[in-house]
Amino acid sequence: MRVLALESRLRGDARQAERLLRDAIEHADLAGSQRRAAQARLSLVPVLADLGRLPDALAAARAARPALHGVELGQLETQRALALSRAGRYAEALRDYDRALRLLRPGGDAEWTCRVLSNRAAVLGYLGHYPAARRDLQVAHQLATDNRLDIYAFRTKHNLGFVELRSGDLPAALRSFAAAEQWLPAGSVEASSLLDVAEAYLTGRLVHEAREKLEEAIEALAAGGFAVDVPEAEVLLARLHLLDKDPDAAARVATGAAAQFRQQRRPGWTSLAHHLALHARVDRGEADRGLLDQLRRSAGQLRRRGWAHAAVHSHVLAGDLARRLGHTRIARTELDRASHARQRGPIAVRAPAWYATALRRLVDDDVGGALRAARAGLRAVDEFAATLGATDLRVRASGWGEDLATLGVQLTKRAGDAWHYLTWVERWRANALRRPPVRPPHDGRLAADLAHLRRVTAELAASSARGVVSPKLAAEQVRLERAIRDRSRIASGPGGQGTSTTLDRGELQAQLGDRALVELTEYDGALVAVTVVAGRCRLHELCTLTEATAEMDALRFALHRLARRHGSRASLAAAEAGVAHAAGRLDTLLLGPLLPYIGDREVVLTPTGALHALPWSALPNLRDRPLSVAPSATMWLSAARGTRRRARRRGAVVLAGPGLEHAPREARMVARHYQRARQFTGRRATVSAALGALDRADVAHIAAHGTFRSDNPQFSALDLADGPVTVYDLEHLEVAPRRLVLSSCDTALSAVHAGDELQGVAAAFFALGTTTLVASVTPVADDETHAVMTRFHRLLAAGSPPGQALADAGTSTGTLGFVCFGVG
Amino acid sequence: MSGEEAVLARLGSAFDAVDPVPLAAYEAAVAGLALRDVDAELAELAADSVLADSGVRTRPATGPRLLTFTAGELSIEVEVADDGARRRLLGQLVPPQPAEIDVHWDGGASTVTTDQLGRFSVVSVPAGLVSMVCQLTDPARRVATSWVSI
Repeated sequence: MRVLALESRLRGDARQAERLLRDAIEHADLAGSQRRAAQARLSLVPVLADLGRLPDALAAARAARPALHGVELGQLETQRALALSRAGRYAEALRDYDRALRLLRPGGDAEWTCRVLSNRAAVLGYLGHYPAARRDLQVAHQLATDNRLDIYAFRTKHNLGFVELRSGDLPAALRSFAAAEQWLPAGSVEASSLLDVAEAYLTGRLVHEAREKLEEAIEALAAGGFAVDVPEAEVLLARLHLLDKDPDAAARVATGAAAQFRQQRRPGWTSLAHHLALHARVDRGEADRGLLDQLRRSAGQLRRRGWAHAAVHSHVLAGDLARRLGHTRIARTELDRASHARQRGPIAVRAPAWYATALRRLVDDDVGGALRAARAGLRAVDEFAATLGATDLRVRASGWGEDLATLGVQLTKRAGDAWHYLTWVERWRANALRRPPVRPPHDGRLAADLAHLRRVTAELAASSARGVVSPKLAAEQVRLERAIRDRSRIASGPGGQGTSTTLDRGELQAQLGDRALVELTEYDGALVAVTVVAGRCRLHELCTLTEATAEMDALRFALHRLARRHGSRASLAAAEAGVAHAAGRLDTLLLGPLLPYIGDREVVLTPTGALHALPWSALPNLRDRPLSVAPSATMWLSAARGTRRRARRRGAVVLAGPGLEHAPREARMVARHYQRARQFTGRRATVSAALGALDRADVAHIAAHGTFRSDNPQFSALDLADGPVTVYDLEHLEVAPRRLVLSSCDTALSAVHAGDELQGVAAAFFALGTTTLVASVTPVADDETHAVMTRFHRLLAAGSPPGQALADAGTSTGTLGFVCFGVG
Repeated sequence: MSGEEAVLARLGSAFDAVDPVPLAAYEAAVAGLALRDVDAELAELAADSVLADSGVRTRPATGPRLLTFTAGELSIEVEVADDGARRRLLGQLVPPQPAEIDVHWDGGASTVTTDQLGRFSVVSVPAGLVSMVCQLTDPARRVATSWVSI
């Protein structure tokens, strides 16, 4: 019966397991077998812990103890320790694990030794003793593989991932989680390990993926009767909502989880859930003495119950609130307590600890010191980003610096010094693009998946053109995209300090020459422009971001209809009117206040947020003007200096993708303008031919279907003869073409993450060394594009700089979607 | 949305999962329901960029979708963009004119007003079936679009 009960527990039915074990105890008692009853109680301890009934679990352990000794007593200590660690009573749990190891080793029970070491490592990880935790897990994993104990081989690898995550190494954690999976029987799910993966995704700020994992975990837990773990999943869900800036949802989920933990008598977890509920209230804008007192109590409780990281957060929240409410003394104490955590551990703790340091200095009116602390915190964020290999993780990493950057921007804005403000904005703008690109590892599986995805996507496109969609192929596409996405994220970055540089005023002015820099920034929901013209740096208050975004959306909508020639003649006329109206409004809102200063100068423009998708040349005051758009002034400067990725380049490359009537002709036209241009059209324009030819090309022109994938910008693509070339493929280029024209729809669109971090086809080329990129932020008509490109290349060949050539070509053909990025 | 419409919508999604009906037939059938609003004329789906040969440099069926509904000389141009699991609608009435527009979906609705160019926008519409009911003022007229799946 005890064996049956163990089976039930393994299958995940805790309630059934309890019933069976209670029966076993009763039978053993009736038969007068104390040892049998104690053995059943030993098995009952983890079952009760799973059900969230800690006092009952401890009582069962107490009742079993007198009848057990040696290895079996060691097993009992192990189960008791597990129950204790679940309740957050880590010190007691560690003592029990030590006793258990002494009792177990003489018997040489590999399985139980694995279990103890693996569980002890988890506790050591919680407490921040990472090297000791890693040692336990390495020993246990070896023991498990030597003894063919697959489930322990899985758990030890998985727990290693958990420890790596706590220590701050996200890719190492993801690698361990992936390596663990091979030890699981195919198709099986371990709910508690899904929670660890979800937590890793939260560190990577991958909100969408974390939500998927949590939903999967909650489903598995509920189905298995593991009531105890459901609120643990909800704790992560509450953190997810906080990250996702949805404090209402966070408050709801955290409050519910706290109530369940309280019912389960798990004070450790109760205080964690309660802390998240308080955090949500702060984020909702509540600010009163009552909340402050609760936060301080919560911080103390968290510290005592072993939640060191959450305690730091609570101290920061309390300190900041005390500061805002004017309770200076409390603010100092709380912020001092949080500041200690700034040197090591995960970025999710280090960044807030630096923020606390900055606020602490503000309390003493030390603005300079606060700014230095904020800078140091952003360096910690840079260091974290430098540990990451995958682009989609790196672009999100900047999000950890949001509070620090916002503080710096606020302080400098208040001081009113435009240049100082600009350097702060630049400090946190598009940092990921400035870091040296991380080459994906030469990974056979990744390469095979990418090739397979290309075939599947090409087949799907061909079949949907015939009006049929194969659900099997579509499912295969989703599966492959996930595999590629997950696989790419295990790559480590170069590490080190990152590349934070301070914008040099003299150099910027020298490179700008007669050009005007217009940097758009968001400040508290409003747009603020900084201009640098002829040595003068000025601040300009513009409209709200919402106002500008609404007009931009209307403009893009109208341009979309015109590009597709969608609708009747009257409808197209209305679209034309829509373009004129929206472009005029945007011109007034965004450029009006600047015109007296920028005059008719050539403009270098750095957009912000949603405005990265604005077709700038539609604005009347920009239409005929040479314009270059850049992710940041710092990026533009390094491109203009020509110091980025100096490399030997070779010639011109021209490519035409399939399915476009005018593309082959356009390719031939472009090729005529360059000596010995390599030309790939028709079936020769394959992905591998393209990647080979684009590498180190001096100039390249690609006429092809382009797609922007808002759901996952890494799969944004250009269509070639044998399928799409995605951002993942492009990242294999050693050196991207110096000057590049993407004669396609939408290829200049980017996903914009916190810190104006850009992700998409254009951003990938920039990160890989392209200095000038002409591409479109809107859909463009095939025939019109051919016309504008013919004109553009003719002007370019005649010696016109790209920004000027594009402005002239756009004016004469009326095509507005193309933008010149980088150095015009 | 009435009980009947809700049932039909749910039935629709069940069929979608098991044995999808061709889009056009499906929409035509569901459009019948809009006629229940006896005061409103029906604006039928006249163009859908997903089904059209695009002439633009992107694959069909990617990026935002353009729809046109027509009732007599009035047309309602709508762009549907993905916003995570939800949809964002941008629209324009042609000829441009002021109107109040109720956007209906399964289990909810939202009212917006057009600007002087007849433009409107609705954010955060759940994926699924939608219909727009336009209250025009000059002359007073109610026009309801057929239900479409977005």
